[in-house]
Amino acid sequence: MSARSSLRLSERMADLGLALAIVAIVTALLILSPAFRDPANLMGIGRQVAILGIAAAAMTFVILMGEIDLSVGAVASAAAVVTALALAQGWGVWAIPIAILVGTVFGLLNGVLVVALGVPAFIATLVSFFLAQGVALTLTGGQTILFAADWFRSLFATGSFLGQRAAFWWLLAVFVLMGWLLARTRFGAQVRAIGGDAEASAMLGLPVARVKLLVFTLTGALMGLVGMILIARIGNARADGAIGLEFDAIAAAVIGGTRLGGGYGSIPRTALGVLLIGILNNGLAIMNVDFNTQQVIKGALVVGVVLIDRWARGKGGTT
Amino acid sequence: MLELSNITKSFPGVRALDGARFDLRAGEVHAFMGENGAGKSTMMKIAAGLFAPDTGTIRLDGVPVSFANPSEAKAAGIHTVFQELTVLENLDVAQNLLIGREPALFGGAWLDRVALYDEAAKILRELRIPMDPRRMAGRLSTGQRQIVEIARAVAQNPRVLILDEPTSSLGRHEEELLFSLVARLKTAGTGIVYITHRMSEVFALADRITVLRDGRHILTDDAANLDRPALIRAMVGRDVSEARHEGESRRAEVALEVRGLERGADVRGVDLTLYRGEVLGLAGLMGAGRTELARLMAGIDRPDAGEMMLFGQPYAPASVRAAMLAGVAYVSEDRKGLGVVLPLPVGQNIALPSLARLSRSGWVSPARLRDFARDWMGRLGVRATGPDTVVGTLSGGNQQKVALAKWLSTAPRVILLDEPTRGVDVGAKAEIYTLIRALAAEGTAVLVISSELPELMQLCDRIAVMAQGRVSGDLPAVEASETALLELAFDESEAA
Ligand SMILES: Nc1ncnc2c1ncn2[C@@H]1O[C@H](COP(=O)(O)OP(=O)(O)OP(=O)(O)O)[C@@H](O)[C@H]1O
Ligand SMILES: [Mg+2]
Repeated sequence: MSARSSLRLSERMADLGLALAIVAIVTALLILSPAFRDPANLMGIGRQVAILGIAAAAMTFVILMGEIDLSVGAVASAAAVVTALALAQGWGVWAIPIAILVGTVFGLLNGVLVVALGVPAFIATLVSFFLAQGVALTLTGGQTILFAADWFRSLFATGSFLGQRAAFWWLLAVFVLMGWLLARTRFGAQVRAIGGDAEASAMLGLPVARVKLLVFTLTGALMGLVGMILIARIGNARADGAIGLEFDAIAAAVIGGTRLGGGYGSIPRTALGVLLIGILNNGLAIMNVDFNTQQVIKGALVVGVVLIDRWARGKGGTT
Repeated sequence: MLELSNITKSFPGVRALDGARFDLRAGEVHAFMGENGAGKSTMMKIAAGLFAPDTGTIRLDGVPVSFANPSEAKAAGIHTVFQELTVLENLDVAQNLLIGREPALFGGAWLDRVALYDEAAKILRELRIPMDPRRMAGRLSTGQRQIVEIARAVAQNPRVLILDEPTSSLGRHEEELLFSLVARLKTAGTGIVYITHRMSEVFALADRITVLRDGRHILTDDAANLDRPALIRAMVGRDVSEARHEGESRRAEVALEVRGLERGADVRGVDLTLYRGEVLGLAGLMGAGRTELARLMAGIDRPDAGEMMLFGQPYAPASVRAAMLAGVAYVSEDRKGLGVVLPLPVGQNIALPSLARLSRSGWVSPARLRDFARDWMGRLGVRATGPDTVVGTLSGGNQQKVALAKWLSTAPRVILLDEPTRGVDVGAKAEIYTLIRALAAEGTAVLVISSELPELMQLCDRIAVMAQGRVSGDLPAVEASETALLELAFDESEAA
């Protein structure tokens, strides 16, 4: 009994630590920066983190399952480019299923490489990264693709509803969907079990291959959505539009307590991680901290969280 | 009811099964015996749908069946407790018990948490297992995990229940629990396949016995028609001596002395003296604090209070490495967690703690490593194609031998063995006893933790008993009887 309550306690302390970090950073920024204080700026954070948040939610599934996906940024970029071209060609609403299709195909490729061919996810998703980059670069020829489709931009980013932008509502929808999938469905339970021990899960009769395939594919499909939000926000597409997203997504998931190696993680916690990175990005940018320093601060944060997590769960008997 | 005939199964480099057969009747306990690596687990993994046989047929109620995966076998009513624990550490007890069939609405789209814990609590209550369904499995002891594993299978009212060494890490209480479960299922008409290396269990439980050797069927007979020597001969192919070790405990030089050692609720003031050249047994019920004590001695955990002396010097190891350098080695009871590195080859596993000795200015010659490993594989009778075989593919008992070789080969001054013969067959057990005796004769101090009292009585010079975190007494092994030891083991647990 005492062991149980101590586990709950240490878990709660890790959560508390994260919440405290957010409060501390927000307080510091509120005091230090008048621009950060501006309500318009604060409201804007929700929309700024949309892309990161969706990628981090998908990444939480992948990492929780004991895998990794390095292709998310490149796949979202490829989907963005294809979609922008479709819109520029006047394909109208057909651009939307095309975006999802592009993402899904790359996700499926990741899944097949990992599940059917036994390629380690690190390598498999690196392959997809290069392929997706290749596709995007070939299609753009290094140029920025412009398109005009106000309905599209409004639907995925700029439109306003109940005081928040569309991008924020998409983020919220994805968090709710993924949170429900992970915590409330049998599929989510299977993802968690496989992350705990894939071999044991197979011996227990869980459909390990199918679940892995699904998670990679779902991640790809969500990158199609990310690609659309990306171009809807800025009104054009570039081949490197979302490159680097993979690292921010991994960072947000890990800061939220998702354990690299699998087995532990949750969507609400990842949301906290996303919030922390979002606030930090916003605050540091507003205070004109240079990009390199921003990266260092984010890196330090990840290390800090991993150390706290280790300490908090250290007594669990697992590494 | 279940019939496997003419089964052949090869892995790269080994023919695990060679025309083996096995049949199971409803309502019987059928013991499946054989040496380590004989192919018992492989045969049952075929019945459980985990492996497909190369040739041969499986019949259920006379109808040929083939299972593509374990869930198909489960659907047919065949449930298995695998030798390798499959309890998931990142889930709690309830989630583990009901994995794959969690109570849910809308076909799995909405898990019913309340029903999950209710159902789990009901299962635990019905099986009389005192365990909190919300406890994380990572915090359970190996024995408790095995109980969860068994409960998971039993709760599904199996038609066929396969138990692959279910008692290997159970204490006496849990063992009795299991036996009563088996008895209950039997009356309900379940056919039970029971794999074990413990002879006493076989004759207490089994209706029939099948023996497998080198993947071939040797015999099937009623248990009543067989006796212990006959069974051992069938398994090993020769006679094995099970005589007690006779000899004076040498108490000349103190090797490791422990005074007032405490840690949390598990170790509550232990005094113990281990002499050079003796084999000291440590008996006790599960949860008596034996493993926890060994972990303190091995430098894995730090004590809250008390002191240790090693050959007259204060000894307070800050890490396993520090303990190793001081000459204290520990072979863990949990071979998957701490004992061996499953994805590495046998040779590297054995040589791991000895690398410093084997290397010349940081460079280890692969040939030297192989020779070293081959030597120790030979001494312990590790059954593997060679030092390059990956440990994860060995049979359970052979993995245990690798774990032993790994630490015995470091030539320690004090060696702590936690359940050293878990899952090891009778023949190999005798060899391991001989080896331990030889180590002691050379002056090593040996502490053996075991839940098998006959093992302690056969192997040790002296047996100390722990109860409730303290040493409740010790006896010379020649004078010890199971009753006397059990009395000491229950000593304070009755009072508390
Ligand atoms: N996945 C695998 N890959 C390669 N070889 C394997 C695999 N599983 C088992 N083997 C080999 O098959 C043989 C039979 O192993 P099995 O596990 O069936 O033995 P066992 O009778 O259960 O032994 P024990 O009593 O030690 O558990 C061994 O030689 C083992 O090394
Ligand atoms: Mg076996």
